[in-house]
Amino acid sequence: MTRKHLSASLALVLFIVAGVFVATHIRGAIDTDILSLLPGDAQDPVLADALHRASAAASDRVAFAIEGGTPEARRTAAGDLTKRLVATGLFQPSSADAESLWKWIFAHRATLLCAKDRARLEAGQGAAIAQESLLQWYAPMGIGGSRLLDADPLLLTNRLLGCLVPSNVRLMPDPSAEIVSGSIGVSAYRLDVQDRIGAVLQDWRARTAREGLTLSRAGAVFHAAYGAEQARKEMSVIGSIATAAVLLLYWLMFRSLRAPLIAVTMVLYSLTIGLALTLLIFGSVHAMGLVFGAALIGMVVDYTTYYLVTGLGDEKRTREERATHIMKPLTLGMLTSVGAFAALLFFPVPAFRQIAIFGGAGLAAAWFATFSLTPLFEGGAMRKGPGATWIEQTAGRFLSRSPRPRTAWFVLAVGVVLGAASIMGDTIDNVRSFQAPSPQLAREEARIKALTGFATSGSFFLVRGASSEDAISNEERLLATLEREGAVENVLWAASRLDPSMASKGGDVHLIDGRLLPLLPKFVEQLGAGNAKAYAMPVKAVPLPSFAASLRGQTRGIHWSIVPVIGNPGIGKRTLASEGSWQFVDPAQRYSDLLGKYRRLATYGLVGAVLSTGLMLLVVYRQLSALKIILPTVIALIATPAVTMLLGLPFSFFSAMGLFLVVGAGVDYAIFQWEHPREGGTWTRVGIVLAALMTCISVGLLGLSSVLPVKSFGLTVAIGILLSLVLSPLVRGWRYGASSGEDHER
Amino acid sequence: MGNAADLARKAGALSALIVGVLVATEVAACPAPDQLHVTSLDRAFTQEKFMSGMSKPLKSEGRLLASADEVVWHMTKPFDVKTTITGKGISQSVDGKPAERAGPESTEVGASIAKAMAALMRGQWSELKTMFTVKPSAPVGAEDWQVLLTPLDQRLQSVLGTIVVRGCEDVSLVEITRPDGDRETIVFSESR
Repeated sequence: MTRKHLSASLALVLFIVAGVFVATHIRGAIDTDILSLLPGDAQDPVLADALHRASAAASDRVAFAIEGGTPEARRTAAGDLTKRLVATGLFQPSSADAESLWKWIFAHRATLLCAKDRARLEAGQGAAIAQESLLQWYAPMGIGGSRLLDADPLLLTNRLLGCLVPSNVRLMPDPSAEIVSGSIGVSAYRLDVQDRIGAVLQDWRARTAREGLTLSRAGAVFHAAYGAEQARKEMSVIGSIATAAVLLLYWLMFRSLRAPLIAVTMVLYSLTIGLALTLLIFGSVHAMGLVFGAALIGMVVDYTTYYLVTGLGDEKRTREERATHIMKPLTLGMLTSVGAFAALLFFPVPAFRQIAIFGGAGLAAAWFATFSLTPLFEGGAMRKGPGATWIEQTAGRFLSRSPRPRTAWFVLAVGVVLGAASIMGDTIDNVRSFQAPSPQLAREEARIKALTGFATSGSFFLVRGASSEDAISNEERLLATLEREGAVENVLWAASRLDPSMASKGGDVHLIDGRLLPLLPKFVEQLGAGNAKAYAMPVKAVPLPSFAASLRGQTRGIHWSIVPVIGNPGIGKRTLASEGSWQFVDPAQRYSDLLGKYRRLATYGLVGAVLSTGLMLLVVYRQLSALKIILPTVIALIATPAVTMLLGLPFSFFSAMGLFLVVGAGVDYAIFQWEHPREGGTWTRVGIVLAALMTCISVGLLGLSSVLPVKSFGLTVAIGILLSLVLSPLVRGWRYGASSGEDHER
Repeated sequence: MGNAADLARKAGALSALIVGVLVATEVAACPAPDQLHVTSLDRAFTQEKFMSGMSKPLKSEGRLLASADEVVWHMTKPFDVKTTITGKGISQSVDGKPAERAGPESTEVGASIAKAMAALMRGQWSELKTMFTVKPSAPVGAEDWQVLLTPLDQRLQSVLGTIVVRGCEDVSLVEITRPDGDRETIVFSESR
């Protein structure tokens, strides 16, 4: 077996292995969480963990309201819906939470007090509390029964429930609706989870359509499903148009059906290997990564294109000669592109790290397949098509010209002006503007909120402590501060209310034992019944309700808890943050601040990428003039943000990410110009025009996306690549008429 | 014999007619439950709660006043507690002291129960259907009618159990049987 066949066999085996791996691992591995597109907080791991926990706690709640029809029909439909959701194995009804809450409070009824009763007992008003309990036994249709008479005659469980359940939570929803609520035990951002919940709802709607019932939904899973559906549509449209454009361009270039087939094969080949490596390393891939993957179609076929165009000239060359002709610039171009993708690895954004691996591995695979498989598949069947002739006569000629010094200085001046405009222009870091929510879902959520008070909490207080006890004590101090400032009503849940510190618990037990329970014998006598030793009975250990336990955590030895709040507590700065004890966290604002920070860091990173590319060129070419190769890319980098701003898109972190790709791909064109500046480079220039055109079409189509990060990334790459191509003649030197790169012709 | 037999037949027919009229009169005195039209009421009540482990029932007395937008449950014995339920919430006054707003939990559940009670007293069965399964039985002869209410909400059902409402021209008895066997009766009287 020759070396050529060995590498081809290796390429094929690699493809088969990658294909099998993707097929067996892709199910359930697609992440649609918009937060995955956001940077983590590497400087504060406690905050990063708390943000993750708060997001998960807020995102796993779901609620449904069934309205219309008859009460019996609503009730039957609600039971049917609950049964079907439970059958998926994903859904846990909130009745389970309510039951665990009741069990916890019942078990701690004689050791726990709410703030109001604590104050009353401290003020010596135990008799008044006992009297209130006595009156409750006489209330019409009251809750008191023989079981409570024996276990809780003072009705302390009911009393605690009344003050511990947040006031905005309606225990008895509007009777005109049936409410089904609960939590999803797994990530709401998994596509398979969204699909299974969606299928249950679709089936349920079909069954109940005749009964005049309407269904409202609330929960992050539905927003995620909406976002995923948008991404699917966009991916499908962008992928289809990009593929069609590639096929058409190839046919116009080579007048051969084999050329587009080779191109499609190369696309499948590189995307499969890129995706397999991403899944192997991360275990999942973000939906936006797949959208970027669709954009990669235009980039991975570049290498095949460069090889195929070497067969268009009149000069007949062997496969080996053709491969050698492009080996050095293509390898250098691949390395700079992979380097640019690799730069994304340094940013603490999970989705961007996936894109770095996906893109980098995809391009490396495309490079490998271009030299190992394309020569075998091509079979010398390429012919000069009308597109190739047209590009040669127009764009190719434009690229073959060396700019006059006056033109070059003018271009530089325009570049500097646009660069200044880029620096002074608008920026955008606000995560709230990333994706417009579904208006239909917003209406349904508003309806459920009106019926039940159901609201997902975004903001929270993060409380820290050196020990678990310390963190709980700090949380209690926070609640006391909020109480003083009249903002305690904003608190949704606080774990310390159910499971207080030892000090607080000791105080409560002392108050209950000393000022309330001594009144029990008289109370029983007055009532004429009841167990006078009800609170002396041993208590069975009960776990803290899971929703409360999930509010606590530990990161690197630091104990912390989150206290979700509704809306803005509207309190002073000193309350919002107490040094070392607690801080108010608005995740959206936090992520926006981080995005701003990373936008600035990414901009500095671009300077680093340009410097490292320059260094690589110096190492390879060993002459200072080789630095001219990066000049077109530098001008493109500083001018692109100004152009996108003119199109109404301010500079963002995602624009900066796009510019990394401009560094990688844009330098390729300049390298080819540098390597083949003379007549022999004619078809190389046709190749880079075709390559740039395909990248602009496929990535530029991302500009149609409804998701700001994708839109911003796509337009930036497309404009940057176009400018890099148009400015690539600057590499050829600034002379009158003749080309200047003869010395570099290989 | 023939005349005697004829007379006896006529007498029998007359007796049947008289009995029929009497029965018809009795039936007309108790309309069907869905024919009740009570907009407001003021009733005395006696409530008794029977619970296992209690030697004698918990007994209370007082007055119930219900209008379109307010229900006042005023217990006078053994304690003086006036509970006022409106659309805005529940307030309670003990021993004639200023009313205080009840807590959120009791407001929610209590308001729902109070609304049900008000609708029940007015015979507004269609309104009750949003909370209960309503199974009325038509009056038979001179007997009172009876309506069986079962809460639709599982939690309410676990607290209240089933409710039987009896009456004639209006509601005279409410009997609640809880899942654990406890029982509660409220007898209304002295309509004015």
